[in-house]
Amino acid sequence: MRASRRILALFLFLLVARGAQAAPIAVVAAESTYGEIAQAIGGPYVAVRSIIASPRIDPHLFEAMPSVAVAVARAQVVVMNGLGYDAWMQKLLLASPNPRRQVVVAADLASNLIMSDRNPHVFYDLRVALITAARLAAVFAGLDPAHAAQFRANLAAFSQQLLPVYGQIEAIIAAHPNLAVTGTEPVFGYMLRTLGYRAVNRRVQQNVMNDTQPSPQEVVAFERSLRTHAVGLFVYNAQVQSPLTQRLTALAREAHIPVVGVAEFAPPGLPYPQWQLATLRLLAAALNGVRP
Amino acid sequence: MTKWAIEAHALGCRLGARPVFSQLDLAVPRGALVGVLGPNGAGKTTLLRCLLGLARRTEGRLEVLGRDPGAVRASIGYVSQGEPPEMSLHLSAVASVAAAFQGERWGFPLHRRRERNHALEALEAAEAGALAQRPLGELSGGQRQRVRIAQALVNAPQLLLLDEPLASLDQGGQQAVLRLAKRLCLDRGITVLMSAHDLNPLLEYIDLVLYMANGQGRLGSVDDVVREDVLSALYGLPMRATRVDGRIFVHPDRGFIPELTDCCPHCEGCK
Amino acid sequence: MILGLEYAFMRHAVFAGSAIALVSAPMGYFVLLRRQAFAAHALSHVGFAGAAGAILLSLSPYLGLFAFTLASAVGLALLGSRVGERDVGIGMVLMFALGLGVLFLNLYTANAAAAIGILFGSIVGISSTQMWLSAGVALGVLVVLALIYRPLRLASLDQDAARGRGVPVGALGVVFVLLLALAVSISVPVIGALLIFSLLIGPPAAARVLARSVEGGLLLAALIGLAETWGGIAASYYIGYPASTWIAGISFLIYLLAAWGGPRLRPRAAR
Repeated sequence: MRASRRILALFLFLLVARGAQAAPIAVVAAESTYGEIAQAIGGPYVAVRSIIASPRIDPHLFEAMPSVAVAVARAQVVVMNGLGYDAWMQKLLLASPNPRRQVVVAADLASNLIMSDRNPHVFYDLRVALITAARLAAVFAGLDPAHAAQFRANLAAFSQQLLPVYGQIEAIIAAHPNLAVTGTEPVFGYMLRTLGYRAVNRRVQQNVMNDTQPSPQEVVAFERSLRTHAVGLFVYNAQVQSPLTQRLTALAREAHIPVVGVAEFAPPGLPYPQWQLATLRLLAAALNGVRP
Repeated sequence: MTKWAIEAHALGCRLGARPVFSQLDLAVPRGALVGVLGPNGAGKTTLLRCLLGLARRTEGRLEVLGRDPGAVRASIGYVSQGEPPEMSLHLSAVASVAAAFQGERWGFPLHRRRERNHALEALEAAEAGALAQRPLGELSGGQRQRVRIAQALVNAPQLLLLDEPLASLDQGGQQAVLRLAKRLCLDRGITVLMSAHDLNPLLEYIDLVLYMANGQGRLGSVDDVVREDVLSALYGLPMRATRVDGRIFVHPDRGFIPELTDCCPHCEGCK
Repeated sequence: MILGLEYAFMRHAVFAGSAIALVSAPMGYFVLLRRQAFAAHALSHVGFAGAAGAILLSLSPYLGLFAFTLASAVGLALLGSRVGERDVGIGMVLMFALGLGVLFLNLYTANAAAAIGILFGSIVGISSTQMWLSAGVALGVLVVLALIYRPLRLASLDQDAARGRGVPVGALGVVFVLLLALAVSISVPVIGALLIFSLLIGPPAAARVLARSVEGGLLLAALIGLAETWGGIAASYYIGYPASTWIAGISFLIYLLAAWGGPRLRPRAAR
């Protein structure tokens, strides 16, 4: 019976094909930034779920739901930021102990790169992103040795994609060196460090991040630095806004200080290098006097 | 067992530095119904608390049920002035009485049926048996006062101290509480001290009156105490006790003290 | 398996949630009787300041939460016992503690998510250590509550009667507030400071309308609390949305049903 044999062959083929595809590595990323990096490294051999992926969520304050906890409980690999940025993930990991799960904490991998004020927004340091990507490639290779070469190749491609980002950084530094920069939150701190810029009014930014009130003196100093053009760039957190930050942003615009809004994590679907590049292009445009 | 429920000699009590009363001589026989009268601030409540051992006696001698006050607390029922807390109004009468059964003992009550039976008995004794299942919030002021008396009866007291139980009751409610107090004296031999603002409703029920004023007090029969010479000595100013239609109005020689009586016989305007 | 109990975090959530529901119900019932809801609210919020202080000192936020809540409880107990006076005292303690909390956050130069997270709680993020700690503290609170049950019940219903029977009403109040602080301290990290009333006040408020005795109210409140917790966790697991939202929603719904249906379930005698 040729027909039945064919059907059987087809069935077996489908079974094998499914079997090969049915075992992608289950990865949970606390924020979409790390989800994008994991996806870039793992390609089709990983199934990534990014928990915080909506740009409207404040990742500092996030209450997890059971579906998230289930995903964490089932995950083979969890990748997160650390430094208290995603403390909720730490709680979920403790609630679902699993010795076989591998946890990649970006800030812990690059502890020598952490700023002295423990600014948690480490994902704006390209080196942290690359170290995280390298660690993920090693973890994936351990879990799925058959595709280790693929992961290594993806890592190489990832680092190649970062080159244009560095190119953009160099261009900005060449055109606008040594700026004093202020902002509503320290979210962009690591990139400013890379650019060799000086962050001022840090106390106000800390307080905005922690949802406490800055003191009037601090706000006065902040406003004075805007009015007197003591700063050459104003960065605001496009995701977390309050009446205070909106007023300061408006003040900076009035004083004709270049203003740029940055996000806390990559828009879903946008690879990490492209996200960084897009942000830097916005920055360059603002510095060059092109209003969005 | 002594003949006296309360025996005091030259009893005095202070609240802080303020002397409330002093030189009080009391000899209350068992089973008597005593009305404690006098103006606001005369120390009626303080005396009741002193008998419970809650307010410390500062001078004199005091024996309650033949013992030191405080040592016999378990045999004293006390109903304070005022209303039950609003948040307990959903509780049934029997539940609120049961809560008082051996309320000073530690631990969780494991014999709830026993607690409940005592509560039902106490409610019967307080002529409130029919109210047992009703929530406190649905009871009238007089009914609620009987339930509170049942609460004081649940631990089988020999002495019952009622602080202003007639306040804010209508005449019918007052009569019911007074009849109940009298029955408890006659049938169960309980000694009852009842403080009140107005002497008249008590007249036909009480055996003795303790009149307190100006830091002093006199215990005796109504005819012995509510007299112009005695009252004048207590108040330290000339007092009159006018009798009209079997009612007695105590007032100063000239004018009247509104809080002493709910009405004065002299003026036309008030009722 | 039902309710996702194959996952450790769901087992932790159900177990710790049940322990908290079981301790919150009787504590909340007494909170209502004693009109101390404001104290409970304050205690749930001062923990935030403790957590912030602990983070500043590089200690566990839970340690700060327990320490601050217990210290505030002692402060509350010392500041006045009359309801009006007490509320002013609570306002003062709450104000001062929250002021300190904001200062701690201001002094802290790194991300303070852990302190602010205390205000929200996380029922699916309970570690096994936290689960056993919650269960142990809950059991301890229930044991002490059972030991002081009878005097506490009487003192909550009628403070004067309790004093009259020799109950140390003041000391009992201090012990009760300390127990409340412990119950609140284990609830806050799980259900969140903002929603603590959904287990502490919601179930006893509904039970109070339906039950006519203290013990009946306690039992019913515990059952309602358990139902809310399990229902909330299950709804969150199967449908989505945070569990604390569900628990608060179910709590509100049950209260509405009880307040509406309670009087209709029982034919009442005419007033």
